[in-house]
Amino acid sequence: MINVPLEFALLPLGNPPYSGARIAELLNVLNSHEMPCTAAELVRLENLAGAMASDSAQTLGLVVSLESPQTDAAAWFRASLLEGCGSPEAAAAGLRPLREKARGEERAVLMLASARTLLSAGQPDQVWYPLTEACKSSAAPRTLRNAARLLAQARKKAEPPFRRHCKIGLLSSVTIDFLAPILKAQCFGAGIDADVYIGPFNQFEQEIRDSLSGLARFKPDVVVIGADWRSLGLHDEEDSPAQVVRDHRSRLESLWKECRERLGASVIQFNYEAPPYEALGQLSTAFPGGRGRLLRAINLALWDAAAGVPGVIILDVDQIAARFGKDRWSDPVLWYTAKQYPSAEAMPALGHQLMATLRAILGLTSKCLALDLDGVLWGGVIGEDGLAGIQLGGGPSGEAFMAFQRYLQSLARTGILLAVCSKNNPEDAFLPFREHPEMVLRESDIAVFMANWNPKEENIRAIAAAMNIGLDAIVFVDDNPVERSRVRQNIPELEVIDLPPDPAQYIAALSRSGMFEALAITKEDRERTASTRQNLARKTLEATSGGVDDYLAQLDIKVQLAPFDELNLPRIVQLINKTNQFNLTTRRRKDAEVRALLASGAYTQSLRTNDRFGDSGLTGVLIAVPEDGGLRVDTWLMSCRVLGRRLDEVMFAALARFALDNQYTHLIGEYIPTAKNSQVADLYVRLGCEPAGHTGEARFFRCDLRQVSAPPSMIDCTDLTQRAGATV
Amino acid sequence: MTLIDQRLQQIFREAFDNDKLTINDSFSPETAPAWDSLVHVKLIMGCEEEFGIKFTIEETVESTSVAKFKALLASKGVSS
Repeated sequence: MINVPLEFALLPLGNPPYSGARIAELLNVLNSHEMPCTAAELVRLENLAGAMASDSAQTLGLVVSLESPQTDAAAWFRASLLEGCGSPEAAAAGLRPLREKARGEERAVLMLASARTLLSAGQPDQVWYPLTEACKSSAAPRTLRNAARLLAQARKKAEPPFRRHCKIGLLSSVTIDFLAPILKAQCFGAGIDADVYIGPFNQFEQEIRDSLSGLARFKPDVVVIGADWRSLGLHDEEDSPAQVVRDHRSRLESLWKECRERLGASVIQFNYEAPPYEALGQLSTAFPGGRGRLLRAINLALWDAAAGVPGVIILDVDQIAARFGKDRWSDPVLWYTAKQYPSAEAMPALGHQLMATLRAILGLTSKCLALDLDGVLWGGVIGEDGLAGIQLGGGPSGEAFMAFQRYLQSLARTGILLAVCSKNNPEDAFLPFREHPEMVLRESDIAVFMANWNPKEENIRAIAAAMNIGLDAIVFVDDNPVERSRVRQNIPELEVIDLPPDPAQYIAALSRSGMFEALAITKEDRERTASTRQNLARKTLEATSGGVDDYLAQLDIKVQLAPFDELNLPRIVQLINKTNQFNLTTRRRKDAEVRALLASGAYTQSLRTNDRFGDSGLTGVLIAVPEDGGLRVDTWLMSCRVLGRRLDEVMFAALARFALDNQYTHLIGEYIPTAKNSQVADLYVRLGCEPAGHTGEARFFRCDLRQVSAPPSMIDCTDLTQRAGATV
Repeated sequence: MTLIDQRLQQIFREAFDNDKLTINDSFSPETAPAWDSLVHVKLIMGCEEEFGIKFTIEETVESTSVAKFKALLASKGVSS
């Protein structure tokens, strides 16, 4: 077996064409190269195959002699040769067994080659999974650029399964063009169709203010203001630093206002890198007017300013740069020659965090973390090593596992639901939670606990069902690559973290994924684990009670209906953007759009509910707009946590009463089908409405107000929506 | 075709977004009008990543043909 990097093994080959003896040598190298290839080695082999493919007789001979490759390196080389000599179908077939064998950049290179050959082989529908995985796995600018090119080519043949579409106006004080393809690829990895407009170099202010600019014509959903620290023109030391901060803050606030009010767009504002090289050295931050201190003061002022403005998010570029390494964040050569900032190698880090923020804006923040136990929460195997044998606390590895548990507990307290998904005997799995002194996570931190010997994909489906969330809202963490690969193949829409082999790196791997980036943390978020556990208790009661109404009566449900107000608006906007199942029209709306509806005199209703098991918080939203003498239900949704309690009848009855008291003649309901909302397809019919035609996919229903039934009597409802007008 | 030619051609294909492109030594902004400043930066970034090298300001500005790219790679010890 050869134990040197492939690079050196290939060196004596020289340039093609090769003699028979050289070829034999090459095959010997490949077939005995058992070490996993690096991404660079994979690309080298690909290039070698490409260079040889010009001599097709020799190439085909080689393919034949590699008929049964003995190593992954040989199989990869064979597939590259096949692609090079025009047999993409055979290449794609050869790549398929390799795809799940690597993580990180190697995975990205394998997945990208798989996607590329599948497209050439005329199977565009097969391209999306490997292309998505390539985009998720790579942090290399070239791989991401090539993924974006391939995406553009593939879209001419088939339509990818996007979760969201987003028009992004990318404005900057520097050359930002090269970020666009990288961002598009990263967004594709997250299921987002990013339509990117690149503003002219260093004209972001004009672009935003000019109503005829390219940006205005583009009609962005999100405007990214990517100004860099140099564009501020700060001196090493400023005489009136407070004034500088105030001026800059008010200048950006006025730009944000334009973006939100005139363009109707959310804003992602870059903050400023404090550059690593200052003539004043560390004093740059120590002096009151030093540039280093000033940039930090400006950054804090930006957060303060954004805190009062919904729809404006600060992207912490200074932190992204620090994490990446500021020495490599800037490339002075490309700055002086092309005004390129940050450096080429840093752009994936910037794009990734931008993508994570877009994901949050679009309501795609993951909701649940499904955790394996052995090797993830502790070292060793509880079923074999026992309570005293596992690594948890009391040593370097044990410390790392404890730290990871603390990180997970903090996540749970921000509203991320933790689930256990472990192949174990249940009594073994519970043991550390109940009896290990160093265990940080408690049973009460885990919303759903699945420890059994079923296949993990079945348990993940059960977790999704228990939590009433989609499979694409779950992030799966397992230290075993075989389990990861198996689960991925069974549930392609699942997010899977490729956990590194060393527990010391777990926190970084999970944090870097950006899956849980959120725009706000509401009261409901902080209480989510408890409320999910309450829901499971409700299910147990439901199973033992005699019929739905008996169950509801035992629950002792209290409901409060209220018009939207300032305090509730963040939660309402959050629900509008992420609710999928009980959502009649799935109209995603930003804060400014909801306010505009309010200002236009719409009827608004938010629902809060609690019962004997606890408070579910604000979990229902309804907006109806006056139209033709009636009220049309524009938006109606409920969180999956409160379904099956006849609360839909309560909400609809309140709407009907308001309509009746305010001289409206009828109600119009609308249902727009999506992949996830089929459970409400016949809601309006159940509520006594008549079908009233359709426009495209949208189906309409009509209800004369006499037809509305009284709300269920066992639900105690306080209705504050019956006076006209909203309070925002 | 040498291995360097192959690797360089792949970088040019990506930068020009043209998978059929074949390059020769005289390929330059004069013979290829699509070789604008953005494509030029893509070529520099592509070479730096592929060959693990770093261009100076002068090398960046003066690498205006395939022949010049190849000479530069040779001077940086990239041999295959």
